Amino acid sequence: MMTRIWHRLPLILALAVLAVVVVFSVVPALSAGALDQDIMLSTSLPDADHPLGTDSLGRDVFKLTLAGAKTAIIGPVTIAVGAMAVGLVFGLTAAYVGGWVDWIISRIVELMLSLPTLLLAIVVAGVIGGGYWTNVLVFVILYAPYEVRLVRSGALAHINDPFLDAARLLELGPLRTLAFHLFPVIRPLVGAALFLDMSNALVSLSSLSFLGLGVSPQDADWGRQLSDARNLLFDNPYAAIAPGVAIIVTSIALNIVGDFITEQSEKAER
Amino acid sequence: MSDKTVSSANVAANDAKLAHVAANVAHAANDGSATVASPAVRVTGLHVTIGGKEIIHGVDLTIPRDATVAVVGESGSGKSVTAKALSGLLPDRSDASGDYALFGEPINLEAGERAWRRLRGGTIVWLPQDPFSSLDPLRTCGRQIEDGLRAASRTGLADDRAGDDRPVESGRLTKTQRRAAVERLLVDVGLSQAVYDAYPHELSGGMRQRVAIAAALAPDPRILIADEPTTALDASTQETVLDLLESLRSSRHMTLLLITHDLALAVERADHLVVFHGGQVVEEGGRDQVVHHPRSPYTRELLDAHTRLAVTDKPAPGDVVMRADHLRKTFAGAAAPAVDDVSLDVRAGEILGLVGESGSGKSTVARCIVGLETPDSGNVVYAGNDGKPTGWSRGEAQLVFQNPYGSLNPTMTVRQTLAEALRVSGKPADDAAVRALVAKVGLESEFIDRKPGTLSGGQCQRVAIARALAPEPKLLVADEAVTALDANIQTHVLETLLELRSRLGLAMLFISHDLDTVRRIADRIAVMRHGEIVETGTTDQVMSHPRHDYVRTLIAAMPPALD
Amino acid sequence: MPNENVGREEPLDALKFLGKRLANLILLLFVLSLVTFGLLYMTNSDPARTLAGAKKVSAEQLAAIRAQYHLDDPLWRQYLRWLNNLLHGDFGTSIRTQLPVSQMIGQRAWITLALALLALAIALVIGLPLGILAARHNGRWQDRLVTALAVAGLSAPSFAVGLLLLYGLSVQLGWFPIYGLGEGGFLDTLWHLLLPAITLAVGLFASVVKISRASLIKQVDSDYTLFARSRGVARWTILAAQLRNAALPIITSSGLLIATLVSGTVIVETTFAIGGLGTLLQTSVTFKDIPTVQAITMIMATIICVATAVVDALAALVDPRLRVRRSPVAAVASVVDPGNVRGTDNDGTIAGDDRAVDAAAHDADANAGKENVR
Repeated sequence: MMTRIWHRLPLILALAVLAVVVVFSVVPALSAGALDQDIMLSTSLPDADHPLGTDSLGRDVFKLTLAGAKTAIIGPVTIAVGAMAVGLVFGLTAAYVGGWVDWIISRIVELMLSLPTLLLAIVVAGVIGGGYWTNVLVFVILYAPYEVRLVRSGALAHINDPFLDAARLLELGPLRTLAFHLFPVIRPLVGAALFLDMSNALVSLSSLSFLGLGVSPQDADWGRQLSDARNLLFDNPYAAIAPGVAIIVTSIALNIVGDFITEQSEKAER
Repeated sequence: MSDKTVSSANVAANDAKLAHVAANVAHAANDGSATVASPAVRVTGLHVTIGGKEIIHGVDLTIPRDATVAVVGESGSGKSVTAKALSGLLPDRSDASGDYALFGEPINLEAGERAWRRLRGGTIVWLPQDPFSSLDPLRTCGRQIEDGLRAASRTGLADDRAGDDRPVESGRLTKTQRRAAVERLLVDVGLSQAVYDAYPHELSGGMRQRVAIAAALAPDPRILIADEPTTALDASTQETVLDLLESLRSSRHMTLLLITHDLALAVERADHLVVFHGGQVVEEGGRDQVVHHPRSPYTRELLDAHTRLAVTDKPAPGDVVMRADHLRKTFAGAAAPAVDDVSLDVRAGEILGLVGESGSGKSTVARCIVGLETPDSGNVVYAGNDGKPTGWSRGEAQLVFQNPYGSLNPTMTVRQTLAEALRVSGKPADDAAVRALVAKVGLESEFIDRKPGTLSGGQCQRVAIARALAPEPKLLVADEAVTALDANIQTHVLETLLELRSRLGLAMLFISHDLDTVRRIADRIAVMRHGEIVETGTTDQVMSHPRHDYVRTLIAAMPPALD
Repeated sequence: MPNENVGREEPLDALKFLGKRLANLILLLFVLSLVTFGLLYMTNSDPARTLAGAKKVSAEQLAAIRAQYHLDDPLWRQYLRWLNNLLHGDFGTSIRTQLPVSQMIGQRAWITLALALLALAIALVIGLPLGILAARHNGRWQDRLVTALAVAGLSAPSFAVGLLLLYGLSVQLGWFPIYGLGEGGFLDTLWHLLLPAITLAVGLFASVVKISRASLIKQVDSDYTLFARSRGVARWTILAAQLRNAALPIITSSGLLIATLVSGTVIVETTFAIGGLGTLLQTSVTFKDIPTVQAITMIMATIICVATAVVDALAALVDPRLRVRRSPVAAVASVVDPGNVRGTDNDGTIAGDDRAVDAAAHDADANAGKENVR
């Protein structure tokens, strides 16, 4: 029993981290007062009132970090789910229908996949004017081709399986077949990809915020915090350490869960 | 039938074997050495665990020298694992224990890679099953064969084979000499020397298997373990490869271990048989003894699997249920049509067998009949419910596929699969209906809430048949439906099909590449080749008086009767 | 028995293959140029306004700008003019600094190049051996440790890693210089680039480890390895074969690395205040200095696409299954061997339009893990 827990320790920790992040993002009351500025306390080191000190605007670093959980979850979830929805629609269609439909979808996907994602995101989002939800939309579009390819290749692995032919023999109809036969078979793949996508999306979004192209300066956001903290390393390093660690740990946690799901599905297939 | 206990039977068998071996040596050696040579392989109490689970539960095995020994068993019986254990090729998380001796010299089963390397090549070589993955795709065939030519003093066991016709013992060979040695090997296996410079993907499956055999022979092994050497090949190539192995065995004084699931093949080719079941040896002995006086009930079952089936009352054939007229189909980019003017019909209560090798077009015909493919020309007509001819719909004909696991949705339980089939056919899909359907195909109801992954091949195939019966079709098409099943399970499923025929008056189209299986179940037979039907007739007619040469060849290639 | 050489693979025509790749590349660059050109029109304001910059301008000045940039021409003509200028090296004038963009780029390009190459070298030198090590000790502690490092490296965003490293190694321990490029000569600049390069390498090295580990494990578990071992083939010969076979998917996946590398320079340079193309891009985007943004984007994107295409082509050419050659056995085979084959061969490795190949390649995707979209 103990060895099983030991082996599963990374997963347990990851789930714990994610649970904490979700709680803080959903319950705003927990981080009330995060945005309160106090110039008098600008960039001070940790003390009794402020366990991690304050940033240049006098905001409590600890509370600010907790508040940043919201933008760390909502955006990435939206991106992952949105991109996957597009991926499912086009990927399943391409695999099931085949022919020229598949050809067109594949060509478009190939083209989009060859584009440098982050570069384009920076440039397009920046020129358009940035903003958190603009960025989210841009990433949904940029991530979608990856999901289409994933779903398509996952579906193709089973497209010649006789049970799909059997569905045709029962005259189930394409929609029913896709929903109840083809989709369940790639469900684990989709689940794993969602978590890995969230991890990537978190990094992508916060990168843009870091570059000053994301949330507005007022909002709590880890990327933005890190950007502000660049100049504070000598004065209050915690202003950088806190959000830095938060992002890294959350991203790793999402990755671990995603990898775990992949592992489980590979075991099931054997 | 004797009623000795298993262990004393073993001892008796071993004694007989030793005497047999001694006799062999005396006959075969002919060079004056009259000592009783130890058997090639002697294992006692072999236990193998993989990943914590015990796979082999105490196996005793004695393999005489210079013999062809067939190790027979269904998939999962432990025959391959034992073979790997004997050559030290078990995967990482495994343990093997027991007493093991090769040519009388004790071998430590738990030894590390270095110790095994001493033995591999010169003493024992394992030839894998799949010729498509056993060779390195990035190197020429010749170089790969050459890799096996052993340098002097590399393999440990003293080699006391007589032999003028054994290949030159390689000391430090020059490049030219090595190439020449490889080319000789290529010729030995029936390939041209030009194959040296070819890459594996440039060769056909049969040729690749020969290259693999040449590579296996390069280190001049004394024991060659051939793991299902012909399963991935077609019928005609199988014969040639097996003939090749036999001739190589005798010319090189090797011991040949043939691992196979096919009892008929084993009986045809081997002097000695070892039968595996559930991780144990259940039968061991000379061929004649095992075939005529099998001791274990399992062996009896396997032997029986090749005899005629108990035919239940055959209903008189009714009206024509399905007629296919002049079907033609050519696939895009193909040189020749897959189906070239094929016509056939099936009557209610009749089983029509369709025989053809892969590529003959039989599967395409089946798919055209059930509407999974559209023929370029010709039509498929069903008798319909009220006498009016109709095209295919789900209530007219259903298909059972070859791959039992692939034909069921792995994420749905048996109940869900069958309920869906019943529902969409407009029949009640409640618990009672599902149970009734499952009972029809002889599956115990405890399996209803399981998923296909937890069922055996035979059970999955029964579920597939049940699903096919849900819409109450008039015609059941079985496309290689029993091919992927083990021999004794095949018999059970075939019996189920026969029973369904007599109870429901089903018409059946039974398709297989194996004439032997088809003749056991079919009333009429049609033989296909290159997209055409070359012969039809009742089973008796076709089997005893074949008109077409091809059919004659097929009949000749069938294994001899095991009674 | 008649001969049907079913199952024998047809060697792909290398020239046709390359031609297709080239056509793809050109199409890609065309689409990129369209998007980049369109940036001018994606801003919130009127293009002339944007081009005027942040200062207040009068109506006449706006008209002058409109004339100068031919903004009243039909779009396609504007595009062609822009493209033409680009191909002749005329990148326009920066709105922010009023300097020629090509001059600004020229000053900084080599810094970014040095950073990228340095990071790539570090990632490969550390990543490849670690990946091979993990594969050879599959399942044991070495493997677990390396895999854990890879997961961490892959997940962590480079700016976070960078700042933390900066704090730890530069501010606290004083091992590395803090921001900027320093005043010194070439070597001093390289020294200033070291920590940024390490930061950039962290994400890369993780990908390298994952890919090399996965492909080598596949070789170690392969049938041909087992067969070679069973024949007593020398250890080094087997290892060489495994590395050769593993190299192909590694090379193919390297294409992804290039995109991460180039895009990553933007983030890392900003983090460390390095005056390369990355910071220039970031500043220009924030300032809406469109001409500069367009130029840098086109340059970076072109480098990424061309390098990826070259790597793909290289991998394809190395695979003997693709070489055009008259097989030495073609003529002889039909006489000697009537072999028919029951199964079909499905081990193509080129990602292409073939559905069967894609289905097989699905395994490769799953193994190499989610690619890094950063």
